[in-house]
Amino acid sequence: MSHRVEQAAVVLVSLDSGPEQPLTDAPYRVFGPEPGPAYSVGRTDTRGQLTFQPDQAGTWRVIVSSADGHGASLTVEVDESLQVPGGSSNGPARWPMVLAGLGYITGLAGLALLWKRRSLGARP
Amino acid sequence: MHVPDGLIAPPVYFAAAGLAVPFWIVAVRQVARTLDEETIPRMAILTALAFVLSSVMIPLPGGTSAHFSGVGMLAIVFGLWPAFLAFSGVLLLQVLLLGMGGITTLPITALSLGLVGGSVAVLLHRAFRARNAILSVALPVALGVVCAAAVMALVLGFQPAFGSDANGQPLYFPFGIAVTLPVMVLPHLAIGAAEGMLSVVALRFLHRNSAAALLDE
Repeated sequence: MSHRVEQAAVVLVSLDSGPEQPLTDAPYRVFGPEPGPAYSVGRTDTRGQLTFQPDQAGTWRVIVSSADGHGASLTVEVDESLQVPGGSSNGPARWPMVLAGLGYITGLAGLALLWKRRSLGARP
Repeated sequence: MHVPDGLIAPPVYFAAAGLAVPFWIVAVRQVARTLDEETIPRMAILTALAFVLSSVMIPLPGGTSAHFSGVGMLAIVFGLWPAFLAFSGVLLLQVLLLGMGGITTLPITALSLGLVGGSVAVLLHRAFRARNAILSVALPVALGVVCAAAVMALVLGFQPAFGSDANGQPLYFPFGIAVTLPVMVLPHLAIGAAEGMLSVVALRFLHRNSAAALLDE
């Protein structure tokens, strides 16, 4: 078997389940824009990272799973030059979104109270 | 146990959705009938606590992580159906706001944690109600967590049976039951025990600060 070692531009995806908690040795599958079998499969490395070299532009999909059911299903937009412009991450910081969730729960409770009072008031 | 989209076969998540929807309808009707002006704020507080508890990932040895759920506590205080509905709402908020779990897997998580976990907690609480707090609260909550983890492990562990692609790679979640059961159940023994004790503390605080307790002072 012959081989070749070279430097190449790849898409790098980093995953962790918390600070200093990289998702290591987790199986992943990379799917290209066209339907079909996985373009690339493997396991994340000791830094919780995986790489793949896209061969066409479009929306690529990466699915990672750990044995306990946690994981990620994310999309990677590859442009015509086979680059990932700007990179991406999964959204705003966690704690502001947790506070937002608490706000929604409080608001829903208020609506429930209002509805209950109206339904009680409507009874003869 | 927030399973992302893409790891569960469509027949499984469609079946779970078909099972969950009637249960959600029953839950909504039960909640509309039983909740009142005193219980709605209390339920909001415990639902908020469940949201925070299940949003915080606890690192575990081996690079994985787990989290509390708060379902057992909700089920013991308010009953199975309000707990199931409230926790389903928590799961939906976590999908939409935090990207935890997937939309297709939400019914599966709701059924396992909310319905199975909540049912075990309620049934055991009723059986041990007259006993001390450990037996009537901590143990039911802990066993509810473990049973929910076991159900999720079974669902995930069956996914390799739903086929492989042309290269022999599993189409969905790649680990079988021999892996998922010990990986999920064993850590949740500790998580369940901790959540059981946390539930005892939370419910004692709630009882001491309830309107009835305040009126007695």
